[in-house]
Amino acid sequence: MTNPDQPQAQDSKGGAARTLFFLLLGPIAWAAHHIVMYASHTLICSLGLLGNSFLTLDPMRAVAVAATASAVALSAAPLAAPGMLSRMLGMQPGADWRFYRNTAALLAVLSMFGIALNGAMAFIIPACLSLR
Amino acid sequence: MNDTATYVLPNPDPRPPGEVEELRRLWSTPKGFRILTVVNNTVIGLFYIGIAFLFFLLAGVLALLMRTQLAVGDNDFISQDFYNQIFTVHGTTMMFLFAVPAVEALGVMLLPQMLAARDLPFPRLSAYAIWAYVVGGLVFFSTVFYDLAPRGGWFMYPPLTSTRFSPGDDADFWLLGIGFIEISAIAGAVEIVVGTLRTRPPGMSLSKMPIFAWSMLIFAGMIIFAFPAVILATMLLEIERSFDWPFFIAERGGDPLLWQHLFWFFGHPEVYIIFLPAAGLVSMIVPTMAQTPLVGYRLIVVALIGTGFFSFGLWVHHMFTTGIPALSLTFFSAASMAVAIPSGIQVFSWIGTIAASRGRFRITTPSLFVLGFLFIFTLGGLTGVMVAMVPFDTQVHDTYFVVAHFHYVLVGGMVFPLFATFYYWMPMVSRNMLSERLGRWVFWLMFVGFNVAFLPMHLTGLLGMPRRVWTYSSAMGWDTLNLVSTIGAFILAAGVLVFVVDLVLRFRPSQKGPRNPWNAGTLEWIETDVYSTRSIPQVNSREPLWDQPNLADEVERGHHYLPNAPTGRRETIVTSAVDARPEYVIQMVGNAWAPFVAAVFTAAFFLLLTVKLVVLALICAVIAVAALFAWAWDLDPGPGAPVDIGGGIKLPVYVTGPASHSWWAMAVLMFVAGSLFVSFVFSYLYLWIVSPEVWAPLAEPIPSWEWPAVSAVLFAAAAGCFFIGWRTLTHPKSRNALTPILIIAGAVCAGGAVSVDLVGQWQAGLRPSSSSYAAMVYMSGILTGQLVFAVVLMSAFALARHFTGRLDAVRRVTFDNTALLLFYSAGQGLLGLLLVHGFPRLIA
Repeated sequence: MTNPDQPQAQDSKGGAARTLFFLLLGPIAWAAHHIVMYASHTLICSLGLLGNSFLTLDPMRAVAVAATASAVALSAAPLAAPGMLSRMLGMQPGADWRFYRNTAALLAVLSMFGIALNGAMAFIIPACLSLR
Repeated sequence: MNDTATYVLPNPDPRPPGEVEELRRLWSTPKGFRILTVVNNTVIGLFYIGIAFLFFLLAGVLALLMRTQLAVGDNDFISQDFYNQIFTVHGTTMMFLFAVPAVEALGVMLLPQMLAARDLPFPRLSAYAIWAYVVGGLVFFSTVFYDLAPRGGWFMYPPLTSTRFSPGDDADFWLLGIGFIEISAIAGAVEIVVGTLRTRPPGMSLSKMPIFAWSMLIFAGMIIFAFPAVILATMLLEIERSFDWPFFIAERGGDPLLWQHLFWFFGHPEVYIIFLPAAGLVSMIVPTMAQTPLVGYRLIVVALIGTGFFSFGLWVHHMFTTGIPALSLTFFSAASMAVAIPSGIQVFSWIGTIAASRGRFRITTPSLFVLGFLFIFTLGGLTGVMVAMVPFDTQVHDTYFVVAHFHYVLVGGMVFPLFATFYYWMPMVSRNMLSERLGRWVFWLMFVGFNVAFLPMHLTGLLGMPRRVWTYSSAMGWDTLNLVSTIGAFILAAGVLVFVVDLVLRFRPSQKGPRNPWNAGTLEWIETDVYSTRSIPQVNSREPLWDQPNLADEVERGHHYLPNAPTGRRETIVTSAVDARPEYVIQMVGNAWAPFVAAVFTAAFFLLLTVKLVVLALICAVIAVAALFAWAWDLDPGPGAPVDIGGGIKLPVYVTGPASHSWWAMAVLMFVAGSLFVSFVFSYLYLWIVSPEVWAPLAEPIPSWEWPAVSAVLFAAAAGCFFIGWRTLTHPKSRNALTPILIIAGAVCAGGAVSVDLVGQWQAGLRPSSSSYAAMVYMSGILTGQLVFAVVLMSAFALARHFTGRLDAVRRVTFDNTALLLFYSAGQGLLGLLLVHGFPRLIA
């Protein structure tokens, strides 16, 4: 169904869902991290799971470390190993591969910034402190 | 620069006579009162934007009334009660009836032209959306004329909006009216998502898509995930008001803050839902005025996607003073600051494009509005970073500082780009362009008026003036600043008035306006008619009109794809979502009364429910469903011979399964339903966190495990019936006797599954008005039940198709869509059972 005379892009054959997932992995990791942090904090404070010491690794900080490390690792994939990720997703990159790779990488950088900023808050603000 | 020497035209020979006349006949716009039957996004889009602008003017008049009242202290120009009504209707109208519909209208109007599609894939859905919006919107707005308008602010916080404090019908008008209009917005979003991904011209891969199309794609995606939260919120509050189910009543385990969570999970992305398309418009105008490609195309795509995601992580920044623990606030504060980065990327990209033009940037009326937008929006963004900081926000919360901030963001971020759009794209819909001379008056009056009106409000707020007050004491020292703001508001209104005059003098609807007067590079400037472009171009770059100078002429002469109507119906090419390779030709439906009738009676159903005329409402619902059936009857024309679109490409004219556009639309709809269900799960868990003391099994009864087990088996049986039914469709043009039996059995099982669960709860002694827990349990059944109700209706439709010989192994779209929705409903039903029966046992 193609016209060989037309200068068409090579089909990436990855399908829309795979390409979108590849592009959006960084933001998806950021969203997951945001949800985990907020939900964990709510649960920890509501159920009274917080330890007393401000200096030791309390449950909130443990969650923050684990969630932030996982989310950064996940969102780094399009940046660090785009080729491997695309192969894992079954994509066969075509003429627009550079566009998708760079866009995904930039989104990953943006997301990692958001994740790091969010995660850092757990080490700056005491958990369960109410402002009023 | 390319020219025709570097590529082969798909249809190089002269076209036979009569093709254009045939296209005009097929795509003709009905005259007189039959214009109500029009099904063509280009025409519908014009109505849509016109009505949205009407609501802008009406809400603007309310703003002037408010500013007149506030011009001096101790004023009694209007009563306190009326003031409460008009500030509620002003905000609601601007957000729900103007801003979102306006950008959606621009989407359905401009996208077919930018994508050189004959039309987007579901034009009847657009027609339904606009008429529903027109009727619902006008009825809602008219409540302000007979003292029935809501008084709770555009955010409608309970307990102020509960029956205890708002006992009349006024809050119901908001809840049912706006909830219904949100459904209309979702219908538009389905059209835009599938249209943007599947009706691009051959060669226009995602990397070559116009930025406006990217922004509309993200806009529609955000609607799909954000609007269900507020739809759920409106459902909960309306059910609480009507049946006393205590979702927000603290004495029985509810929590008013749940409303705020759900509302702002929609409300904050809503700001970006409005802003992103406007930014997309600016990204189209700036390169044209600069006569240079957009600097940082990829960065802008990143910024649009990043903003779309981050905007969902900000909702609590509207709730900084509600007592949420500090650490949680900082998560949202951090996200609020992070979202400034992608917004900043766009601003720098536009400035970079202007700089890259090396002085060629033309100062026209659209350019002035773009520059005004940059100035105003940047200031709004800066104050946005200020209110993203918890300590500062705590000080200015609910003051006029916030009013100033969000008007800078919304008017700067959306209204100014919209006016730029009016001046820039007017030649596409009018014989005349608007006046450059009057346009400059419009701009300067609006720009000066806006800043005179809203800049002083920062100070008024810092001086302590609260929002939403009817009047204030002159002793507070706020008189001068308020008077200045009022003068500014009237200057701003004068600018809008001059625009209306310009519109009356110059706007003459026609698709024969000046051809590409700005020398733009994108496809919407190819000459169009009611059928869009004469042929559908092969696209090789982001600015095809700049890179292929002969393209417009080639397209007009029919040398590109699909220059005719080979099936004798309305058609366009469906391409693959990523690389835009031609896949099939979609046969589209023509003008019809059904979308109009369905929309009017759907609106009537909701509005009659508001005033508790239940029987009449149900009659209207039946008529609406009948109209929907009539509408859908000819949507599935069945297969035909493949057609030659040119360039040696023969495409099928009928496709089913995951490649078809209807499958995609159903998938999008399932995302909407999924988002609604996730919002419900959040609400359930939130209320448990707030009031565990009302939860089963200690405080409320819970049915024995047999009830959910039977319900689960029935859900599985329903899915099984449709799965086997799928396999009974084995031969073209032949009917299997088992197919209707399985369809009926599947629908009955699904209905039975929901009923068994609810009966089990009732038998156990659980009453929905007894506690927030009980209300949420029954709500789970309602959410799945409404999906199952849709499955039952669709099953009846599929049966009718079967018995009339319109359902077989090939012509099976009706069955596929019903099965998809049933599978989803069964999955949601099972998760719902797990939640309402498993979670209480888990925590016990």
